[in-house]
Amino acid sequence: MIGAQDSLRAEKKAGLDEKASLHAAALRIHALARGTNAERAKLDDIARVDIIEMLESIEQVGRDAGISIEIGQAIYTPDSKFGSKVRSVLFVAEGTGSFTKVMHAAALFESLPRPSFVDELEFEMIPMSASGSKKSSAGVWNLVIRIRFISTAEISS
Amino acid sequence: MRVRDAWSNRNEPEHLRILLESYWRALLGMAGILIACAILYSAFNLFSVLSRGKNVPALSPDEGLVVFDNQGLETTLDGFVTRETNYEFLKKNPPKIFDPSR
Repeated sequence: MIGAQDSLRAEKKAGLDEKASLHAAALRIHALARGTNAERAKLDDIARVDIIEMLESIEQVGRDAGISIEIGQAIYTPDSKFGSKVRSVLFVAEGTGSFTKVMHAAALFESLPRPSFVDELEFEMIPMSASGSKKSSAGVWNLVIRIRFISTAEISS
Repeated sequence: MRVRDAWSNRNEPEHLRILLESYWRALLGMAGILIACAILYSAFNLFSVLSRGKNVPALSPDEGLVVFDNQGLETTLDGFVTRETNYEFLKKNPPKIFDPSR
């Protein structure tokens, strides 16, 4: 009888301890959430990139590097790796120009201030006869880039 | 003792058989130990992954274990600031890489 009461009391105590620790953890989370309001809003702004902004970013790189960029393909995938609220869009873009300009574009793509990362880069030198270039010294290069954007914005596929 | 005797008389077929049998058993034993180690190591990793973040409160119950990481938030934001700075720097200072075709 006494043993049963003791075990009941111990169970109750364990339950109360668990509740108290959960409550403390929730308080900690609330405090953290309140203290990081501005940062979270900033991150939310950065992460909410819509498809137009993604396309503009790619074209902007072309303008900054001095080459024309053509966007050939866009593949949308709801990214399971980052959770259900995050989507990723893969763009395949192409640009042609001198080696220096093409490399400049590649470097700019790598440090694009958007949630993005370069999946693949392909450099190909276009033969002189195909490029129609009359300058014998300047080779023309073709850049194919596969760049992936991560976004929390709603994207219709 | 038996193996030592067999080794001393290894030229004789019946002793050679004993040696081979011992060798085979040793190989089996080592394979067994290796398999047991692999199972233990995998189980340890599995349980450590499953118990990771168990005592850390999740942000919301339906999101699974999304742990609120203040340090991570700041690092991410700093990362974007760095990227923007890099982008602006690269815009004005293109990398000087010589055309390999020349």
